Amino acid sequence: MAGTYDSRMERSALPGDRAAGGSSRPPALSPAEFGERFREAARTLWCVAAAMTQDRTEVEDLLQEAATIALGKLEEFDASTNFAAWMAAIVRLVALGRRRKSIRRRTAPMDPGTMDGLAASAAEGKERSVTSMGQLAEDQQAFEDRVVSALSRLEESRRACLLLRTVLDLPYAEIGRVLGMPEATAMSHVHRARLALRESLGSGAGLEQKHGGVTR
Amino acid sequence: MSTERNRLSRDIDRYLDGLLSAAERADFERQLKSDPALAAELDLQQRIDSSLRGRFAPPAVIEATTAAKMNRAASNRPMRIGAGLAAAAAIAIAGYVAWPTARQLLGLGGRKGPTPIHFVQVGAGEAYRTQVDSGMKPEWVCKDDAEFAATLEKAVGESLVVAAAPGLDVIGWSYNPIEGDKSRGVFSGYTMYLLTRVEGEPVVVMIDRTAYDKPVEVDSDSGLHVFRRQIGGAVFYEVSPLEAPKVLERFTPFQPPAGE
Repeated sequence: MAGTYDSRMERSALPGDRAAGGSSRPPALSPAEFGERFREAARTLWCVAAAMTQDRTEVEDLLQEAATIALGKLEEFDASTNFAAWMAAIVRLVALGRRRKSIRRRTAPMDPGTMDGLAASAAEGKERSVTSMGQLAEDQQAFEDRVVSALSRLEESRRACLLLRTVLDLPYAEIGRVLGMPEATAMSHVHRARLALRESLGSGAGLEQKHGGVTR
Repeated sequence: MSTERNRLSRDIDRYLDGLLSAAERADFERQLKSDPALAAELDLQQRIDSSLRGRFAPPAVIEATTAAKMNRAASNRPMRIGAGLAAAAAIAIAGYVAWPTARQLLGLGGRKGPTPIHFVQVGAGEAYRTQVDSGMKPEWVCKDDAEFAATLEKAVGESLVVAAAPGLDVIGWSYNPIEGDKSRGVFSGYTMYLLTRVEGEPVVVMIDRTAYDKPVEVDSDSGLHVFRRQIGGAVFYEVSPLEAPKVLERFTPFQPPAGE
């Protein structure tokens, strides 16, 4: 936990940061107000964090670290702006920082046998059992595992948009505000994410066969 | 991608998002009945959506815990930790900031402003003595079993309570003490300490996720004993002057009262 504070966070400009200078600044949040706003945004931030890590056990750690950092930057937040967007940016920065550390740890030499095992696992993940109608024929747990695997291959913004829409039923306008993009972009991300998941999970060929087009 | 396929894919999206007009929805549903490939595509998307909701739904316990604690912080009920710390409690209430960290960041007993906090690992004996020397004074007391279980589930993923037993007095929760920029704990920055008295003796149960588990020993001349229990993804170490564990065996899954 505690040692992962990154001093670069202090200098990074975040959406919602108060502009330097000016004679009349809107008041910053009080800690109690921060707690209230964090509670209101918790479910949204959960999905943003889940999109960054896809590991449910890491999500809370990620959020805790982001909240700790945000508390330290409270005076920089313009209370008239979107709190969820400000926090979402911090969540993503924290996740990226953790990922960089994780990548560094994985550069240790590996046993060649381990690498072969990883390759075999990756190959197995691409196999699937389908019926003649292109429908999946596997148990729900295996299907869910493949959904998560396919989700991990999406670009992060698409993952975040998809989870916010699917899990929380957030309106596209709100998704755009939280993630700092136009509403139409959020909608496009969700569309492309859905399409990519369907193609990855095997039934896209059905529509291709019936309605023409090149099969990828 | 063919134009037709693209159009149908977008129709699936708009149908799922509730963006089709009544006439468009009726037309789409007619097409579903006559087009098995389209129906299969929609079915697949609905299965995917169901999986995503199942895997990534935020835990309900977050809101329950924060609502309960927010009400408590706003009340006039005297708090052992002092009214000035109520704001910090509100932050901890949000559920994502360890209590000592919130206190530190709010300049209550520590420096103001962003403060890098470094975790320093200490032995179980030292952690035990720290709690005893400070009078076994808890930093947080749960008002009922539901709050206790929610607290534990939030911390280590296990919804448990301590069943009552003669001679067992559950005092409350404590956390790693923060000294300057250091959080001193047994397993991690998240380690929690359940303070109890058993037969009049101070007993501390040190709890953390199994990911942070490590061998725990105490000095042979300390007069202390250590007992371990793993429950799901959490480890529990009972550090006690007694020769047998008295608290570990009392942890039991929380059962909400009937009707909740």
